[in-house]
Amino acid sequence: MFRLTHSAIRPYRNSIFLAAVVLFAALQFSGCQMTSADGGTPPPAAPSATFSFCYKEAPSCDNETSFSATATRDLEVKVSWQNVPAGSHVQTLEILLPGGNLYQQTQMTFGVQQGFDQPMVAIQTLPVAGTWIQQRHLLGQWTARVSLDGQLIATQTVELTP
Amino acid sequence: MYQQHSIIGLERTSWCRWCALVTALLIAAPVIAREQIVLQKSGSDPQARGEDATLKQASPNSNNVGNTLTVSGVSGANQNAILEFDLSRIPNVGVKAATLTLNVVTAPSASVTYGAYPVSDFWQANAATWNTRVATTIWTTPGGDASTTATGTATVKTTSTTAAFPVTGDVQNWYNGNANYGWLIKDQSAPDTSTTVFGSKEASNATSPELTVQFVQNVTGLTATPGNASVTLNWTIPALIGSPVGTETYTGVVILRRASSPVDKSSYPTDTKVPTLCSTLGTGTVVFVDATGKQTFTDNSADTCGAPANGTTYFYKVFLRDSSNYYSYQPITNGSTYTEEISATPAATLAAQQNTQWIAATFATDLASPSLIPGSVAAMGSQTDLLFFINAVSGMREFVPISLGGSIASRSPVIDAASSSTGQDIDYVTDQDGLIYAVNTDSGVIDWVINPITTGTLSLQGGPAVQLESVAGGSNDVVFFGTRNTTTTTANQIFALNGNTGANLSWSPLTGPIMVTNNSTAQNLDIINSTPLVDYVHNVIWVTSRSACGTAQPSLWQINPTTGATEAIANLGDIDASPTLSFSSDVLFVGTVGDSIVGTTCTAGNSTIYAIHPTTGATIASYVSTDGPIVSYPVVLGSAPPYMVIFSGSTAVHLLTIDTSRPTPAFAQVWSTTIASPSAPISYTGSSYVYVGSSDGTIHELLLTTGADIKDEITNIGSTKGTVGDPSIDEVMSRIYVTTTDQRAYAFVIPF
Repeated sequence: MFRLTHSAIRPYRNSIFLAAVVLFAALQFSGCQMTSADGGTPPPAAPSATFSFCYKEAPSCDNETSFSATATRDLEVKVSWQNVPAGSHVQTLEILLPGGNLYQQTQMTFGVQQGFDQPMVAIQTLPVAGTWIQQRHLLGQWTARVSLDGQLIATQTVELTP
Repeated sequence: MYQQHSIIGLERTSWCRWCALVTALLIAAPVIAREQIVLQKSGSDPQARGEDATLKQASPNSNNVGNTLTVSGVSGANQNAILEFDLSRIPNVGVKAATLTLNVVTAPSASVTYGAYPVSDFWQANAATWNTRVATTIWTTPGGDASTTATGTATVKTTSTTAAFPVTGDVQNWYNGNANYGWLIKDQSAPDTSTTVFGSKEASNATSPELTVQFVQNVTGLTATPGNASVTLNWTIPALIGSPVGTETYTGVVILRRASSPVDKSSYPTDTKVPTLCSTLGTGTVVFVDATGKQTFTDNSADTCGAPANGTTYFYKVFLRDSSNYYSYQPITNGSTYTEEISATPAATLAAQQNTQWIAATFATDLASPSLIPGSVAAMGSQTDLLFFINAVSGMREFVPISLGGSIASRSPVIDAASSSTGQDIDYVTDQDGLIYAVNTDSGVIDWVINPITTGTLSLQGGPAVQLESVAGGSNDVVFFGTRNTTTTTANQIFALNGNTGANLSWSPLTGPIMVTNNSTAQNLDIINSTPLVDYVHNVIWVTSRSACGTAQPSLWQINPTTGATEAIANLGDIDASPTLSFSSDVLFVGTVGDSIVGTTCTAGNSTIYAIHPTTGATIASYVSTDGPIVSYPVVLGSAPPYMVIFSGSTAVHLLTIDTSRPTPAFAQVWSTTIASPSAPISYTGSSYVYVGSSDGTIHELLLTTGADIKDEITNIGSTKGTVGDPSIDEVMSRIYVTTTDQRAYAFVIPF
């Protein structure tokens, strides 16, 4: 149910990597000038994530905040990642019911190449049509919560209406 | 998560300071929990669910299961070991510490540090390669999907005989709702020239991997008996299943109580400390503290924390404790979801008293009716990728939940060994990772797992149906299910798999548009949310589907299980519910969603209940409801016409009758009873009652003759109130089982 997309176009990856190597080398030579107030290397920006929710069937995602459970076959939960350090990472996405009980928890792994600094979007499909959500009227303010490698990064609510 | 301390950091510290630190820690650290077990393949522990393999970068598509596990950091020829333990020997425990030990067969040429990384995706040893994890499904990251941070590390020297990794956090998480996919062992300083060979599960028992776990068991046999302003709890302090640590013994219990809702997962006594009686721990009140081995407690007017009030439901969480005051839970940051709990409602009259037989944690929402081997096992899935087998008598886990690849959002049929062509008690499961499983319910071993398409991933929502060879003939049981691919309203699929092997039957899959017997036009197949139905009398399979929010394409399909021929169809409009046959299979009943296109939007409507001719698929009679879509399935009572048909809509439960022996049968409404967002109803021929779950946190008992709501049993009506799912009835135990959105399963005696 997961898929992962990169906003970068594949042919540009090598040049991005090359630019990163050059930048890294330059930083090494000028390291004494690139320090923080306490004299150390500036800390890397912390990973961050933003949510958007979309009708899966829709040609474009308008990032709505309210959806009709009757008219929605699948809801796509898109998590856009930034500042994720290179390496392999585990995203844990929790979908909480109105009231806070856990509806679903899923994990996905994704890798970030060294020097690759484009946003990445992890997409999870939440089935709605014909599921308990629709049949049992699990409506109201749902919460999506995403963690990276066990650390909570972002939380967002979305409304499901009749 | 463990933080590995830097060796360099220690070297920079003076020897005396280091000694002082260690001494202080030894003095401060109490003896860890009282039982310890070493899980390792042996004569008495086959580690049946344990698996391991080596993933080799240089031969990325080869499967390497053998007598050794190799870890190498050689550039271009990296090798990772992947392994998972069978935890079945300790199903009902709170984990306090865990260490993974690998036995060195061939030491590296130089000292090297390895990390144990928790794997984040389902895999199977007989399919795992550097590139793939199961069947044709690839790893996201070649070499294995795992956390970027090692839970524990171990340095292997040229003289080392073992490598020990502290992995407490991972094992605690597995007992707390996270899927257990084992560990990936990787060289932390790759690329380098180091290679180490370890013993595998397939090796001699002495060198196979070991997992040492320290734990406190849960109490067993927990019951709650309500009285007049009193609740009596009984439990048993279990016998040891491991070796005692030091001289510690189980000494008693601490009990937390909460009104209306279960004590939540963040409420527990702190290890090594004794809570004060009547103090508040999270959402629970400490109502009992004992270190004298008592196995009963009556909560009544003598309770200095406040006597239970009649008419209020009390939930009790019972923590077994040992002589060093370690308790049966996992001490981790997001709370402990598995400690034995029970509930009861005191009342002045016996009729008004009620109690659960057991409560079991399921970790996430599940509203499907539990599947049963009556009197033995209740099986239920979870949307945390876990499959539970609960002892129907005690409510204890039969073994640690089975970790599958995706969310389980449907009922998984359990077949007993006497009926199954596998000769085993077997559970067939579909998950949202697109995989189908056959799981032995006695051992938890996954007999087979299949991605039935060679490329891509199926979208699955409905459960599988099983045609038994013992009834239908043939050479094996057959497993049927349909897909829920929402990117198409025309080309969904119906599969039929050999129940013994998982192989597709020769005609499987049927892919829409589907040719139909005596019909020249191929018919579109929209998404399938339901579980198919096996009709043994007519030797056909019934499948329901959506139909693009209209009646222009079929939504009821009759399939010949032998040939795959579609022999009948009906254009009834969107159907999400499974169909139901009458006892003698002379009528099929099915309910629609009732939606339709208004403008360009699929808009909600009201269900129509159909009586269908089981041979032709023609409509015998229909009944238009005014209560929204049908929930899950209709229930049919009676061994001959007239039949009673019970179904739930959005706001009520309804009973219809129909006499299909008449020339022009028609439905007649008998009663409707308002229930808040009802589940599917359940009853059985000969019963006087209908049972239905509700979003009000209770199970309602309705009188079959009138629909009168005569008594309700409470699952959870407090602040964490859950919607109650479709019930199952265990006629052997005279019990009803439900799961709820409060992440638990409950058992009650029937009639209430």
